[in-house]
Amino acid sequence: MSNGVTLGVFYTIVRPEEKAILAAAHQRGVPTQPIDDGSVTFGLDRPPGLPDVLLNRSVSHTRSVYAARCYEHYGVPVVNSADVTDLAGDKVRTSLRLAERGIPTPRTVVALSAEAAMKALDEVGYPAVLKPAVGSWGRLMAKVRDAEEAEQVLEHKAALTSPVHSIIYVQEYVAKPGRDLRAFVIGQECVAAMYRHSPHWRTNAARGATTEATPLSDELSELSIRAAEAVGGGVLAVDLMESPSGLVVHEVNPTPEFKALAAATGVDVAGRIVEHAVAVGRR
Amino acid sequence: MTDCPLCEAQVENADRIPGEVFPCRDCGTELEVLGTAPFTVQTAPKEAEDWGE
Repeated sequence: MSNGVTLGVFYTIVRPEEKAILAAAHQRGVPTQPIDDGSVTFGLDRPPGLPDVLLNRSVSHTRSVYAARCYEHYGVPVVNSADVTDLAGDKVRTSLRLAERGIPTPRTVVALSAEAAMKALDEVGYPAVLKPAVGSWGRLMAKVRDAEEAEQVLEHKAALTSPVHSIIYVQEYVAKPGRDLRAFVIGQECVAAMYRHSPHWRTNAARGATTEATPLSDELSELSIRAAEAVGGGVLAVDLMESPSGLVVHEVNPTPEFKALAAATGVDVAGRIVEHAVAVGRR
Repeated sequence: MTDCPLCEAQVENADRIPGEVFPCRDCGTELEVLGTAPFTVQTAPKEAEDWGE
């Protein structure tokens, strides 16, 4: 199926997902070019030997955005595009975009200082969730039940050195039923979805949530595709919660893991990603 | 075969590929494959603040 398309796989570390992608490409006769994001350099002129399309699997948001900009500058299409990764990797920008497109999402208020964050928390109400604007796997997220807890968390955030922590992203705590949903969108299609069960309020698979396939209802499928398209489309994992008023989208992940999803659903996610990337490379 | 850079236990290649991360069976340290011929490893990079999905 390659039709002469060489697939670049841009990685930080090779996890089961990247191994599955390389194996799926091999099965389909697609030549691959693994590229370590820590070893590559980018000049201003197009170098020789580039792949025809790049699958961006770097786990570093910063590296992945700059690398995608450079490859696109050389004329290499990137899955996902630099714009999509830039936007979806930033929770503030993602929330703004979801709101612009009328996609249901938890109530969110952004503050630029700890003092303003206390006002934001009053607007959102307690309990609330504080999230870093960039990062995932549930890292450095905090659920605060009252102003006293919030002040303590904000004091700790102030001690963190990265400027990104000066942006306080406050989101309504959604009382979900011990689980959330992850839907995987490739191109125009929602290919699989699963529940992530956890007694903990953070239901990330990386934090040990158990997973279970969920049927693709029209509502789930359509909402996930709309959310993916809102950030520009590509290969995206859409995280949703079942709120008392219906499904809400809380994250769209631009470099998604899928080992747990593939195991729970039996869907060949890696193969579908490779086929999508090759199709992008042929355009 | 090579040695774990931390505990010096012997580590097998087992069809691994460059960049692959796996735990040392003896000490549990996450190791990253540098090369396969010869098989060499180093301790895997630590998770950075902007790492994620």
